[in-house]
Amino acid sequence: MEPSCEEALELVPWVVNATASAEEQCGLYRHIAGCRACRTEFVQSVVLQRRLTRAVQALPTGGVRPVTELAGPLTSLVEALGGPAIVAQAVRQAIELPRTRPALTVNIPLVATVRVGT
Amino acid sequence: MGTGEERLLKRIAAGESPAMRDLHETYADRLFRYALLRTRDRQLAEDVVQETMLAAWRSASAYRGASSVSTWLFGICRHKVADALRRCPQAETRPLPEAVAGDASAIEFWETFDHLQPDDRELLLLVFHYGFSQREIGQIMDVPVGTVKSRTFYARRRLQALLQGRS
Repeated sequence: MEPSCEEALELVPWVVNATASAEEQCGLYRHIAGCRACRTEFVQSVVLQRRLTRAVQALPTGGVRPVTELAGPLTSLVEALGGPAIVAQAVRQAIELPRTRPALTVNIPLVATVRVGT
Repeated sequence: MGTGEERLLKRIAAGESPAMRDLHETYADRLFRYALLRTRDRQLAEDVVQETMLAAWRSASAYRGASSVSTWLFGICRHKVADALRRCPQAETRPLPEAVAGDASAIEFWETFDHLQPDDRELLLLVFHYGFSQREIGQIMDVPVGTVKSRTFYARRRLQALLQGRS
């Protein structure tokens, strides 16, 4: 069934981002084939999507290291700063694999100290 | 568990470090840009991604497949962004950092985009850049699908009007 203008406009973003169902897509395409105003909205949304995506791609990517690589540098840092062995151990345990992590978890502010060598 | 990504999470839950690196490779940059656009601060965004990955690592065994892996990760990331913004509430109102220097078209776009409310900006990003469905965005933002639909409709309209006002 062909959607009304209101329904068509609500569908536009989801057809543009390709998550609408096949039935919804067909309905919108049928509608905009005969409705100039909604066709304009559709085209504008396609342009908007391209501009937004291009602008996002102009952003930098992060220098975040995988959590699996943090244990070594973090524990070394704690040791280098003269932290007690129990803190280094807590760091190691806090980012050990879930399977091997002890039942008692240590909640320490890891993230504040992860920019080692970045 | 069906999809490749769900199998990946199962491997992470089983303690396989290479699987965690694969997840990081697939999502770290996507999450970073989302976090950067929300927090407006490179350091905060990096912290958010690190916290998100750590949380994913630790809770992979709790993943039950009720949502896609990307939806699940963005949901975690969104909470981490909210935590970061609670710690640093002024961040959200800052202009984007040096991040887009050199690309005049992107700078102009972000200047316009900044006139929207933060919730509208987030929604439009999730729809038009990340390509999430109504249901997925509902899960990420924890709002009903009907709300996602209507808010997207109005947010898109507002951005369209702003862009046309500039041209």
